[in-house]
Amino acid sequence: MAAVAAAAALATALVVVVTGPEAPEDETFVLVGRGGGEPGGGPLAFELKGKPVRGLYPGAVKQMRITVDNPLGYRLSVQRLSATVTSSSSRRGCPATPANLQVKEYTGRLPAIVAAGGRTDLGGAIPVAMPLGAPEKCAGVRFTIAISGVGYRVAR
Amino acid sequence: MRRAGRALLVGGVVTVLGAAGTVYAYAGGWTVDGRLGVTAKVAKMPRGAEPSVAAQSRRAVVSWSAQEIVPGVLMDHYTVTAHSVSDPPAPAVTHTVAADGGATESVTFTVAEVAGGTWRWSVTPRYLGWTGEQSRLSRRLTFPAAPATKEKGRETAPAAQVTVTPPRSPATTTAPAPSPAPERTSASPAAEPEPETPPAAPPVESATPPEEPAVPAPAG
Repeated sequence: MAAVAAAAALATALVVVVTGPEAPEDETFVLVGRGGGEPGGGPLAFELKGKPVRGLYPGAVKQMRITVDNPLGYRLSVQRLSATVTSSSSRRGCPATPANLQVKEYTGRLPAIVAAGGRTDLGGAIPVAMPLGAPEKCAGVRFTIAISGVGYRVAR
Repeated sequence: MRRAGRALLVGGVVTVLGAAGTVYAYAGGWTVDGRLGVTAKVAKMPRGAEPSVAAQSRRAVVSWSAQEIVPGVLMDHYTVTAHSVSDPPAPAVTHTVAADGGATESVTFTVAEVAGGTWRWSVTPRYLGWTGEQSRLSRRLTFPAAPATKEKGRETAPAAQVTVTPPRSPATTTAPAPSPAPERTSASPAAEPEPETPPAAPPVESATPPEEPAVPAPAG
């Protein structure tokens, strides 16, 4: 019976991952994922928080800092973080291409361990850069950066 | 019998999957992966700062506050345009000024450029090819027509003044004229051709023109 419950929880989790809630554009909260049910019931989830990047201009590199929230009752190991510019921008004249905006690799050390019920400000950051040749039509444009992460529950 | 076998098979699969999931979870093997958006917003170019203008030795000194695209990042150039409000209007005179990094920027329009006309000025900030909105126009200044040919040397005023309020030098007909270009001009000064001599310059015999000939007019 417990096994059936675990399997059901996994299926539910997968649905959540695929259809996860959309965050408002200016929210600083980024929900990374729900990975399944813990054996005792309840979701397995952790959260990332990242502040929106503002004030980009040609030649600017802004550092997007990430905070990991672990509401679970056991330690979490964040293994990977990555970010990409989504395919759309708020203005057609300034498409979301590498010529206009670039997101680099996370600069910090991973894995990062987050204590049970704890919160960790990661030491590194995700650089967001606007190339020097970005056209004038990009002034005032809003891009969306998709962040993804993978974490493991640390074995007891 | 077949029915019982099918039930047994389904039950077995469910049991195996569940057991595997439970073992995996206890082993710390759950991975979580998802993605949502964080916004990245690009700064807007600001509107130019309304310049202040002053007449000095028949020239126009235009100054304005330096501007930033974001806090701490100054504009690299400014386009300063003299708009004629004479009747008939003269062609606009434009200078591109490289920023010097100070809190205030300025540029001087020469006697030849402004003589015989009434002008207002605007400033447009630029950063790496991006252009902001043109500022509001300054107050207007009216300049008398340029002196006669013998004073042409004064029309190409010396390029030593770079601030708004330098000491006023006495009028003279023998001032050196090293360059006809305005101070701190980094590009072609005007889209329109710069006249060699103002078109409405009447002959003037006097060698000592008024020290401060420009007449500020009320803004309008």
